[in-house]
Amino acid sequence: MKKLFLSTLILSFAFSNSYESSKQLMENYIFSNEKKSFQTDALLIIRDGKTVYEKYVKGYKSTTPHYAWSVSKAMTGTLIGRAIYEGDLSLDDRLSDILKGYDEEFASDPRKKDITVDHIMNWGSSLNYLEEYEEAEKYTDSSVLQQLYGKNASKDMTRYLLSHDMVADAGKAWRYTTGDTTLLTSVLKDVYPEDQDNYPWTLLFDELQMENVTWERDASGTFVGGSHLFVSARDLAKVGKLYLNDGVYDGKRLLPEGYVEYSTGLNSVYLENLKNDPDSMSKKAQSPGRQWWLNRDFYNPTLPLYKNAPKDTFMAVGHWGQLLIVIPSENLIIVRFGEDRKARIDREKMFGLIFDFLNEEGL
Amino acid sequence: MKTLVKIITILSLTLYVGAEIKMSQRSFHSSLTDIGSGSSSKQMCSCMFVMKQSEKFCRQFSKEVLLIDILNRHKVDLENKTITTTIGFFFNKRQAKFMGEKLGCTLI
Repeated sequence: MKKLFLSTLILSFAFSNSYESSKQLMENYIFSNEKKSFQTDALLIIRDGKTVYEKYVKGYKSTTPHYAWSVSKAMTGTLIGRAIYEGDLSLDDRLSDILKGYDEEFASDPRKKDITVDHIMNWGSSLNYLEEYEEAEKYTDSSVLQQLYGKNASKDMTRYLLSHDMVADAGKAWRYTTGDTTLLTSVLKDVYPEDQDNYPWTLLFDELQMENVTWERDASGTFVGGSHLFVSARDLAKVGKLYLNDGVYDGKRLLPEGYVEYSTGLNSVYLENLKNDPDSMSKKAQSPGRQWWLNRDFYNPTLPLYKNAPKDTFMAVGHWGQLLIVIPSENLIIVRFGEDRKARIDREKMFGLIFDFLNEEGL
Repeated sequence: MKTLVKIITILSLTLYVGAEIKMSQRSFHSSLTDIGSGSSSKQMCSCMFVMKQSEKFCRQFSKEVLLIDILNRHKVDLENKTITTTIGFFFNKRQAKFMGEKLGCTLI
């Protein structure tokens, strides 16, 4: 009897020490940095409109505007939606009819004059732009590095972008590029010439009561639409809320009806390229929407890419692991900021651990 | 031997400066050192004045974006909120300036 009691005591002690809750497992993976492989700076989870998890490390706070990198692209797409809703812009508008002072660049190839806002929303300008960062074979060949940091290119990004050759007719070649998205902010600058320092706030940020957001510009005053947005996790989640509610925020419609479906539907230029000329495309893991990414396999968009996440999941994705994830079927928003320089967080594993946590906690 | 080293050094520097001048003449094609100093100035500026992290943290943050960043030298001007970066002993000097809470940093 004494032996049985002792064994039970030892077993229960061992079990109590080895048991880790789903929350601990989630934190251990997402925030642990034992191997210094990836680093999470912030994680915010909002379920049914309520914050169910929020954590910041490395000196970041709930009010810190964190580098969003290419998450900026979804924000730019949202601004385009706002301009359309306000009746100031149409998806069929041609850039050559809007942008002022770039006649020489448009004249260099007549096909450039046909580029529309819709082509660019689809990352389909067909400009020959090379989107590579540290992995570029030669840094100086990288269009994105030249655009963001080159001595001349970074001064007037619009001119630099329009100086690229065309690889096909406008709307025919799918290439995910920071350049294309930045052309959308070039367009907005000329759509709102009287408000060019402030239109992101007038159109969107003030409507969403975003308080900790910074958006940097080039020296000519164009917001760097494809990058250079800084935003707090809480403010970024508000954009997720806008998309969860089909473009309506706190009862007020901000985006045209059907715009969320357009933004998070399969990218039409990509689909056309996938069908006819898959080798010509830049290679990605997941299928693109329009300035967003979908939970679909790049080469077979009928299949989900992440099995641990619902198929209707869509996300904005930035360099070094910045993520805004929206899952309509779960009424769920996830913001993750990080600094994944040496390795990327495993998103499949992250989804699994987050759903285990939500399920175990009954959230 | 010393003369030979001197000649090789002078020749290398001449070739480098020539390549830099040639690069700068190609309107949108910046050299590696230009990109490196531009990237580093911008990262450092945004890190300190937008993300409000410490100078020590930001010196580390702005490194490693590009391999050449290990040669960077930053000059932090807290009064004017500018970061000026020079790479090694080269001539490439780039500056990023903080333009305010909404507009963050711009390479000037």
